[in-house]
Amino acid sequence: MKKSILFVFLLSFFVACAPETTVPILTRTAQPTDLIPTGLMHNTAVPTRVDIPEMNEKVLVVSQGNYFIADLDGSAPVLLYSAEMEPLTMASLSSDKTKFAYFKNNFLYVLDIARQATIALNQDIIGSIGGNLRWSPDEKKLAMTCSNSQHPSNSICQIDAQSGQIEFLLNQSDTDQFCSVNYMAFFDWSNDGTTMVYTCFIVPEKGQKQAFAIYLYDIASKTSSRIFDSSLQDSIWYLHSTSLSPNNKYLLVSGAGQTPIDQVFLLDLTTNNMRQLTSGSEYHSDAFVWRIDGDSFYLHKTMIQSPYTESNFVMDTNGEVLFPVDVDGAIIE
Amino acid sequence: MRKVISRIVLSVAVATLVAFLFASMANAAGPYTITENTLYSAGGYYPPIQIYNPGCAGNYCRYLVQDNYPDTWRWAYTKPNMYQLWVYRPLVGQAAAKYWWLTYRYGTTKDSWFVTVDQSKNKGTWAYLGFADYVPNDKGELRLSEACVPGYWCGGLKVYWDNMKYNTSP
Repeated sequence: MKKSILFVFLLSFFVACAPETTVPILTRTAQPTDLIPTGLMHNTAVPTRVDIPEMNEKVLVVSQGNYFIADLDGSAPVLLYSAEMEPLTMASLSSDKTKFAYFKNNFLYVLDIARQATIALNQDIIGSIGGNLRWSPDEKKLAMTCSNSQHPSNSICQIDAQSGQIEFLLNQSDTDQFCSVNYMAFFDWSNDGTTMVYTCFIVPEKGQKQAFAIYLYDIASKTSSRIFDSSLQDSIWYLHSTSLSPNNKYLLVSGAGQTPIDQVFLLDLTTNNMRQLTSGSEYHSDAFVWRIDGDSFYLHKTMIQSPYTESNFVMDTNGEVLFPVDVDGAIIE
Repeated sequence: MRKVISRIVLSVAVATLVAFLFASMANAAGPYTITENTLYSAGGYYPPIQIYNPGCAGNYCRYLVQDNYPDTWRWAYTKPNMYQLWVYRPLVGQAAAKYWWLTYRYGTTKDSWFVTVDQSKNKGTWAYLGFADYVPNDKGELRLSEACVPGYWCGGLKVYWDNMKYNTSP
């Protein structure tokens, strides 16, 4: 009896003392400025003078499943899609900020923000394996990874935003050997409309390194060039997203190492040199979108442990934080 | 004296156990079940075929016969902060199958893992697929295709879509 009691006691004690990380707790985000001093970057230098420009940029923000457009200081938010509805698979804001496109349950929709009118564009899309949805610079077309009855394997599609007509730009069968037998996902469309970024990848088992490659697709010549091969490096084990700079000079890459803690990398497309811009083990770092200057981008950070505090900043291509951005959630476009 | 110590130890043990149970209840939620009636294409053209069979959870499953032109179908998205997930192996299970589960944050894929489950083994039980490295997340997703799995027999066997379940944190 005594042994049994002692066993139950010890068992209860050890289980109760188990690390909390197995079942983390979520809390509401804090203000971004709360986070500046704490191990942000590789050089951990804290800007002594915060140079905050005029906050008249409009950005697409996601916060707890809600998509809204807002000024960079978080003011004048307009809700585009509520988290109370079914989750979106992908979304994109047109460059003139007048149209919001989203893919949900295999249907593609376009919301005219001023008129608050939504149309369903689908003709024959039967699915998407993932990646991003992006508007063309002229706001006439949308690009995404999709498949349809004629092209059941995943392809990069270009969809007319008026008629819904689908053009299959790149079929898996027209890619290189690695791509043709693995998964393909579209990431980004250059600001000048000439180039697309996509990845091909193998889904790993947990703990194994992901095999992936990143490609640029030239729309005029209909040719792809491989710009990154995961097998040649060990910094990025898992690729999450990429974003092409407005001048087509850099590629922002968000991914994780073996740990996995997300970090932001910068691939110089002229030299093919990759630099890691963030580091540390306290925060996940993501960068989804460039600013129009082409020399800076929005950085989103989340503490990896409770209370999972989130914050946004503008960072330059040297990895320096320029100023914090007072937005709840993440800036994704 | 011994009795007193025993009672103290017992009291502490019970109190610890109760505290642990309350703490667990506060942190985790679920399990939530998603049935195979919520399937969406994730690159699949031929939809899995529904059958009635008492060996399926809720008496119904869907299946496709394994081939080399796989169709991928996903269950409905989970609630935010999916943490752990399981899939049910129906009694009619025949083939090894590769499940692909994902989590998303701000529209970007975070967790993305393959787990091979042999549906012909441990039938009538739940197979644990793993836990998410990324919490908080906006949603989780489970996919399955009828692709042959290297290392396993692949000769006209059926791959079944049945119930999945998950919990969230908190």
